Amino acid sequence: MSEQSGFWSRYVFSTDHKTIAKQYLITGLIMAVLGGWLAQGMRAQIAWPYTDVPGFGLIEPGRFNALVTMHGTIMVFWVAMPILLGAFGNFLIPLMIGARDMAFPKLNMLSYWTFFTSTVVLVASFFVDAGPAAGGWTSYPPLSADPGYTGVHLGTDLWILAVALEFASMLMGGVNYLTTTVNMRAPGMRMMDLPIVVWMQLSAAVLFMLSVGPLISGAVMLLLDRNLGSGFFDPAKGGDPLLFQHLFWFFGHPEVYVILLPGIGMVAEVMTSCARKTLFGYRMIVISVIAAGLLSFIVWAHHQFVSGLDPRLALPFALTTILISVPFAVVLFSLIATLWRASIRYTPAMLFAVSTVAMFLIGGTTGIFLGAAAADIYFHDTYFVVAHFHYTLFPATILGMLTGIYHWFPKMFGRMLNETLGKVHFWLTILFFNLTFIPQFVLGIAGHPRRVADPLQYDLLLRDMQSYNIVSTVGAIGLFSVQILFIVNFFLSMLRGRAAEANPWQATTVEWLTPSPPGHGNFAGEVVAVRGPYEYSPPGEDTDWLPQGELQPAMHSATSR
Amino acid sequence: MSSVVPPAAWSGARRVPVSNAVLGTGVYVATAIMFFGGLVSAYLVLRAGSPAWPPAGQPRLPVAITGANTLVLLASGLCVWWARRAAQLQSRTRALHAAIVLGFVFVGVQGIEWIRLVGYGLRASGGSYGATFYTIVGAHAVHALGGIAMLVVTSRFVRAGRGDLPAALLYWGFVVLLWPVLYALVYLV
Repeated sequence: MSEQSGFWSRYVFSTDHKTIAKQYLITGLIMAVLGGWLAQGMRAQIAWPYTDVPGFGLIEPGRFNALVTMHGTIMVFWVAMPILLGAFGNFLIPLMIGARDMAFPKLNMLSYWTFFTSTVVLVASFFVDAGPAAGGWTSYPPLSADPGYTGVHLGTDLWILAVALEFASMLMGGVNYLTTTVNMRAPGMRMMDLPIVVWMQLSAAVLFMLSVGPLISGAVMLLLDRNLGSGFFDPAKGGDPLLFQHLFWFFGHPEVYVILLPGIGMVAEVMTSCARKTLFGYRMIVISVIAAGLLSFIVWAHHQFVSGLDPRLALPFALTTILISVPFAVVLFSLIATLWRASIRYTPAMLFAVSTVAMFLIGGTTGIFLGAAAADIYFHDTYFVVAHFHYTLFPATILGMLTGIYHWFPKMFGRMLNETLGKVHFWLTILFFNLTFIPQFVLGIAGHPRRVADPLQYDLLLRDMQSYNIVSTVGAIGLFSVQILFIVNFFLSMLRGRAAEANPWQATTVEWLTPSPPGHGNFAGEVVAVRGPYEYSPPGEDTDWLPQGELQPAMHSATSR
Repeated sequence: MSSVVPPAAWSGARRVPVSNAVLGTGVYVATAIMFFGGLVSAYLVLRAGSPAWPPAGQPRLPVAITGANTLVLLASGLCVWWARRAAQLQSRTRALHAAIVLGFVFVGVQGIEWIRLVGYGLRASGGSYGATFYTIVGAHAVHALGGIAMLVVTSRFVRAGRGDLPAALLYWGFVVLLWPVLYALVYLV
């Protein structure tokens, strides 16, 4: 295989979807460390205002705003998106549908390198004059349009450029995911035979592609406002600042599901294989996800209940928002029903999968408070919101990603992760996660506002509640620190872990038919799907699983040698 | 690694109703439609909030010339459609070349009109009338230039006996059919 022999074409400018997936994974993990580190500065400032923070120094309000902005931006666009879609979409879709690669391998390579460029631009913005963007990850004008508010000039332009490049990269990815899933399934694999995580990736790609256009248009207008003085969002020039919020959240809400669905899909895969039971309600899960995807386009204004939205619009958006919890309840109950009366194998991946559902339920139910317009007027812009979205996004993205890594690591790297270290990592992560965010619910209900650098400047109530902030910060420090266990496990196992067999979990889907790690071209023969994806504990059989596909001799392999 | 089949031997295992190129292009077109949806809704919102449209003292847009230019673009789209239907290779490339030339004429005339409008004092910085005009028309011009590039690449591939004309037709069709809508919204209504 001459085209795969060189170092550069094999590891750097590779068109192999598995290598591109690993590139996305490693870049995303590095950015996760950066994003987590920024949160440390933020939390330290909130717990002990205006004391020198090791590694940060003194954090004044302007820098605090930059930390908030960059933490949110990095975690959503440079961690959740590249890992859940870039890494797992790339790795799992071709392998799980029995394809040899993506439909457009060169576009795939371009997608990663565009993403890499966006990462460089974003990181560079930390080092320019006046620092990185500080207008919030939502980048609302006038905070983002007028440097007078944040004191940041070039940082904001670099932020917009980086986000634009990241979107371009994910667009290329989305074109690939959709085309590959629709056109390149193994013979015999119908759409309703797709492993559920592939359905989730497909839905996420469609949601992203259909929602990102309006935000790109908003970003173009913002860039023109900043650099040409066009005034789209400036009332003095006949513009409208609310317009940006509509364009942002028209994308922003579907985006929540873009980064939720792949994680939930991986959780479902792990649950069904570790429970040794068929996924409960496959068809209902697919229908629910499609319904939720459609609904997600008409809920966006629930982020704007207090921003000057016409009050007559609040009720319909509150109704659609509460309605969208129904399909997600169907999905979560299907997952719980999958576990019902199962003899469960608690691998580290399974622990993370179960905890994803448990934690996400807290996030989902607290969302109802915020979706109801009347309650939201009180809760809006308090730490209740912060706690709520961390209880949705942390399980869906971080716990979901860890579920995926612990489960597919053997397939990716050909070695097993250390299981004991994995379990210790799991328990400490869950402990510190809850320690961080449960106090924030309490603080939020007490009225603690978001995005303030010094909570002690509000004398009335919060001074007595500062201990909650300190507990939360201690939790955040713990949460960040225990990830060292994971990083050590990840790299040590990659180098020295026990060699993985082809199918260490006795799982049914077709990626387990090929050696770990699979070579270029994925399968030694042609994959043919012969049954549904989750034939666990089939009645009347001796074995407790039947694989979805079979390998047949490759049709043309003789001609090329 | 040696047990794995090399790329040259990969077989297209599945017969598909829509080719990869057409499907991928279609997905991109859907995204672009949503992008223009964002621009157009911004235009409508800002226009509805403006007391007079066009505002007093702002130049009028060249309705007649742009109308004629719209016909040029539609003709270009028709040429690609012909190329798709043509049986012979020669008539295919000829139709594609005509489409490329007409596409360049469209973008060129648009550019000349822009320069004249700037001369008359229509600025992107002078309020939402100018800002929305340049943004919407400029975004379409960028997509048109991308489409022309795609037609050029396709015509070279077609001569080499491959290339996906249906995908080029899909994308160029989007650019061509989007324009009358934008023209009606921005110039006529």
